[in-house]
Amino acid sequence: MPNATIIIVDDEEELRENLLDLLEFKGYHVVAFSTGEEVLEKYESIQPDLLLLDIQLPGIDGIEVLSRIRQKFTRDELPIAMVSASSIPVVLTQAERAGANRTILKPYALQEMLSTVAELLGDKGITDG
Amino acid sequence: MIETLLGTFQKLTLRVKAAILLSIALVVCLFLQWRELSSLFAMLAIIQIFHTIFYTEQPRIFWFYLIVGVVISLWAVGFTSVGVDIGYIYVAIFSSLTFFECFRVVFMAILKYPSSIQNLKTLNEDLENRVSQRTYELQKANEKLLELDKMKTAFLQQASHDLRTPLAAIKGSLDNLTLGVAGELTAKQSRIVDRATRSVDRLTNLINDILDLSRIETGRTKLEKTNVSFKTIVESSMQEHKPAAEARQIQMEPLLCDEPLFIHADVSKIERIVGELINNAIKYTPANGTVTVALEGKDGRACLRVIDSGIGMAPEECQKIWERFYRTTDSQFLAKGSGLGLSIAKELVELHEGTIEVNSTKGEGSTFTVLLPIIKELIPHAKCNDHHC
Repeated sequence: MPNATIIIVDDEEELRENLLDLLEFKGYHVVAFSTGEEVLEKYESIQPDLLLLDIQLPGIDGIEVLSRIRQKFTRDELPIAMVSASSIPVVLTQAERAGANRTILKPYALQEMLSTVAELLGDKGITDG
Repeated sequence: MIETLLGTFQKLTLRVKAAILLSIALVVCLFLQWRELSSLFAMLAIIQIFHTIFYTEQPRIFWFYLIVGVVISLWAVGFTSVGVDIGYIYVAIFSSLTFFECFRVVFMAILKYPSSIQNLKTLNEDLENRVSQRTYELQKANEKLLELDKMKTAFLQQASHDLRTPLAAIKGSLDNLTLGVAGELTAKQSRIVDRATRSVDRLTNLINDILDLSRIETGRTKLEKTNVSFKTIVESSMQEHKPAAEARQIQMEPLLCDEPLFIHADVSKIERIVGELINNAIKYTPANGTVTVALEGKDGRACLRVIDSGIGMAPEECQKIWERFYRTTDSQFLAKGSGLGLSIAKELVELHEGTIEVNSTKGEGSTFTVLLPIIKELIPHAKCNDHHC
């Protein structure tokens, strides 16, 4: 079964663990980080198929992480969905301009998250059964 | 006329009164040719007038006496032989007094000139100081307002983030349980988790509503307008609410016109307005009732009517339903709600230069009517979304 690798980055432990549980349950291979610095240091060696990146992070924030990754990988090469608890339109627009494939607002509906993940992974995603 | 004259006379000072009375007596004596008495009254009148002029602060009285004096003198000179002397005396004294008064005024003005210049300078400086002081205060107030505005934005952003984060964690945990991440749930466990999920959803909606209203009120809501078919939005909203209506055994009846009715609007906001109205109608209509959604073009406007056979409202409640957090007495027994949905719908309709109103009869149902401007001609190659463009 082709397990896609997803990196999730969120400084909120509860949210990170929830998403980790959910995606692992769905059969994905998941690596979780809590800071932007960590993910920037390790993502290339992990070779993820998708990144789910929180916008508000301590230190280097999500937008900055996204911009730095986009200097090396295009939207097609490495899809990134930005996840934010802020519904301020400016923040979401900033994320899209910085190269996000999608933005997801917290709290997200379970199906919304799963369908976004499946859509962004495309052929690399796993199929149930 | 006489009363007015008497009234004015009474308001005069004693000296002026005496001068006037003596002048009248003088005129009478002159007329009757009582030589001695005329001379006596003339002297007394002149003394009184002299005093009045030099002790009065009203230049008008001075000129009044001058004119009266000259007229009497001329009369005396012209028509009576005895009045000649008195007339000359009168004219002579008044001429002297006039000259003296003019001299006094000019002399005082010359004396006061340097201090007047100084006063003017002081006044100017004072005025300039006041203007600078007020300008400074205004600048400070403006800076304070800008600072408050920034704080408000920051607060909204922070509140939005801090309220949503724990909610997202609760909802995520409940979703994982529902999905069976921690193993299959029993029927009872499912019911408990469902209950918690519904409450979290309600809280999430409430927080979203409060933040939305706050954004609208502070003018931070940006409309991303495109040319859209109002009919398509209404149809899809009806489709979306069909399960909720069926669950409550409510009949949804479309009464839509054939035209697409293009409007220049923000799709998500119009979806919100239509959704709020249909949702509201379903919530407050008891089982076996009907919710009719009618759409038509009317006088260059798209007219949406959501008609329900629900609980309705008393006339005094009809205007209050647009207020934040207001819920009618009966509605509180029938369904849960925050009382913000209609406030948001109204604000959004008004942002689109439309109107919204309600007609209702208690116990019989309500009709909500939204009017939005229709685009007369579609601009070719205009930016459109997938709603019928």
